[in-house]
Amino acid sequence: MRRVAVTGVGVVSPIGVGVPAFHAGLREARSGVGPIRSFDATGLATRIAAEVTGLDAETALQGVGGARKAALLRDRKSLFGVVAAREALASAFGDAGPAPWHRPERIGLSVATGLEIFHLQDLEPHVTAGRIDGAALAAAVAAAPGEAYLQIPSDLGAREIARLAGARAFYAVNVSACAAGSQAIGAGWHAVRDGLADVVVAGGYDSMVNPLGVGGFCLLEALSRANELGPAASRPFDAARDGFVLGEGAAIVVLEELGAARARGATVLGEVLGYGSTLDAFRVSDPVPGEAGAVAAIQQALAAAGLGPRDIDYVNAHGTGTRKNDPAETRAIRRVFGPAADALPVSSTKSQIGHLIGAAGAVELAACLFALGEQLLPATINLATRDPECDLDYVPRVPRRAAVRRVLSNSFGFGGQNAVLVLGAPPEEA
Amino acid sequence: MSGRAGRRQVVVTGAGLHGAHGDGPATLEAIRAGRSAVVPFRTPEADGFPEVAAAPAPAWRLDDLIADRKLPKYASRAASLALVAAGRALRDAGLLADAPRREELALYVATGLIGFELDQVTQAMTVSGAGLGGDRLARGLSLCHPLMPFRMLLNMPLGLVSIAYGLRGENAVYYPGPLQGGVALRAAFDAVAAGRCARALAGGSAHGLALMPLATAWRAGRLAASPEAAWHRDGGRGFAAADAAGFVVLESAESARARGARPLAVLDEVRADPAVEDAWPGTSAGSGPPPGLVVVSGALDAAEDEHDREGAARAGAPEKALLRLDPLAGHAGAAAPATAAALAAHFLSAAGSARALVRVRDPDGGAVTLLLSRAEVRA
Repeated sequence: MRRVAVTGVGVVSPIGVGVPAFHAGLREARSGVGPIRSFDATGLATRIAAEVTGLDAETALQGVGGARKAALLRDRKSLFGVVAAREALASAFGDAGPAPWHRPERIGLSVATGLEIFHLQDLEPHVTAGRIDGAALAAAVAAAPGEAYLQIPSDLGAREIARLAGARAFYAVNVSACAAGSQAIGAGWHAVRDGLADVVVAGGYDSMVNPLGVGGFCLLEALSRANELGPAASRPFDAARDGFVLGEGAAIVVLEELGAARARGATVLGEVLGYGSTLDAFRVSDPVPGEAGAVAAIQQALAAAGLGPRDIDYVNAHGTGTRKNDPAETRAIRRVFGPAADALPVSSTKSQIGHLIGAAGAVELAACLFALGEQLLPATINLATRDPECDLDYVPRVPRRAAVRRVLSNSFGFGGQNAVLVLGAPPEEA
Repeated sequence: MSGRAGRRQVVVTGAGLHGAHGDGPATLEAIRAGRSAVVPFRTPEADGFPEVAAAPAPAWRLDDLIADRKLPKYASRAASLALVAAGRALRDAGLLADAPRREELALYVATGLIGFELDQVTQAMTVSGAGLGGDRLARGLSLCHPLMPFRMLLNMPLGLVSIAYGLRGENAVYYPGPLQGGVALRAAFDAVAAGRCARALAGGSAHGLALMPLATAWRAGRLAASPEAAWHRDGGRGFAAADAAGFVVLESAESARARGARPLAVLDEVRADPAVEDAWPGTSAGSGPPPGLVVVSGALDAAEDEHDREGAARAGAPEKALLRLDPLAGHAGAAAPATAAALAAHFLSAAGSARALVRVRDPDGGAVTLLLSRAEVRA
């Protein structure tokens, strides 16, 4: 069985653009949550989100022109994906990219993304009394450059990343909502481990911080309404938590066959050891009683890694901050880890960056790489009063120094999809 | 990529679809008779949007498949199509009444661009006020159906199929076009072939007739202006839009034998190639009997039709074996590979031929290739 190394990573997050800034944000336990700035959210029940700031789009898109650039500038999530992919590829391969070491036919792409951006302002001029003037809309559509109008397909970023990576082995665009990022990396792990590719560029990019995204989740009553708390509103495992806070961003990793990575002298950041994927098959937005789906996914991931409960040093939780998720995830962890759960640190990166939906699992894996690299556990910030139903060690408020060799990352989603990854420290050379 | 040493043989034990001609057997009968369901179409979601060729799916029922009466309320048209096609595939495989075996199924689904529940969105826009944010946005959204967000989530076709039929295995949703339909089939094929699961349900659903995806395809010059143009004669270009779903149950031959299931076909090879210079990448088709059916989909013009004809001939297929799906049943986007696979499985099961080949082009690049053979050939 081939082993799968992580040899590159790139991050765009609400607490920093680029891996060094992201790491600093984790180290400093900063919150990326604040009042929504990218559109007027006045009047909505939720007016806060974790938005990406400080990204210079023009610089980020150097070398991309014409209609592709116009579309990327109108689709934040795809822009984030491209920026993260550039950083990941540069960290893995330097300026030359993968070409000197790997044939395009052995490079695959497995990325996750979310709902298409729908520019309501493009449609509105053609709507009168609830009816759409189709002829006028068609004329506007025909006059628009490329895909930069109305509905921008979410795979726009994926196509650009595939170009950057020169990926021709396979091209997979995962849209499994909250589980998507972890699934995309899990699929990449399968592909390298099973010999379908030598390199897979994997991860996720997403932003639902737009009128329809925030408005839609408001309709579902899934979001925190603690607008007045601002940076303290995302409160996983806290007794007063009242929903999740939307975030946006991207993380892309380069997965590479370990032997090939070592042969070319690459720096190995970590090793993907296992992956589990299950379905609740219960209800659209409720965890199944008994947490059978989550438990099975964690057990699958551990079994795939050949590890037992006592081999895990840290769990990066799904930890959304909704009333239902956090106790259910706590029970799932207790069921799998048994007595070992009492000594197992568990934290939620969503407390700092919000819920990145399709990118959540990928950015949280980047947080796990941070834990392995710095031997520092990311904190669950804003955890003031622990919910009695959430009785694990959640690394409250500040990061914690710890010996970390193997970590587990949970992603559980709307629709009942569960995805779990196990990551290990860089293996020692024989 | 597939069929490597140590991997298990994968058979198709169930196939289900719903498209312009109805279910699988009805579709196979119609297209073998050369009957087209492609008609001139104007979207009811907008007044005066240009007429195009399309193949709308006739109404379908879920009550003979799903006991939960509330679940379909969460479903968009694409998700509802997925529910009916998946249910038919499970019934065809003898799994609809076998909850314990169903539970273990892996589930891989492809879906297309979403329709955005435009009736709800435009209703929200009737609220007066300036701009599209602020208080106006809040008041507009309060007019929308509370389940609207669920109907827009891209993973709902998979989520609802899982909930409706009790599937709990490994899974993923892919998006947005035919290539990702092939990725879903390939993921399921690999899961079964590698022994990670005994069986998997794989397929796709797409509502290509919703105004938003229709406008996207129209802008890209991919829609035929009339049913005649969809045949690409006299300079005609584009394909007919369709809403359809197709699913197949894939199973290891060993598992099928153990439960006494009759395979419809052997799935020999699944390719989802992101970049292809040649119209037809090499397959193992040349090593067996010539395909008696070659289903092609996704050609945009006469030159691509000609490439398909040449590719089928290179695979050893007689000219009469070539079936151009799109002018007869429309192009189903993300659902096209699974829909074609379901048809090919039905065809082989009816002892039509020893082999069938499916080839679906993705207009954004790449192609899906499936090779199937009659179960008896490999048993």
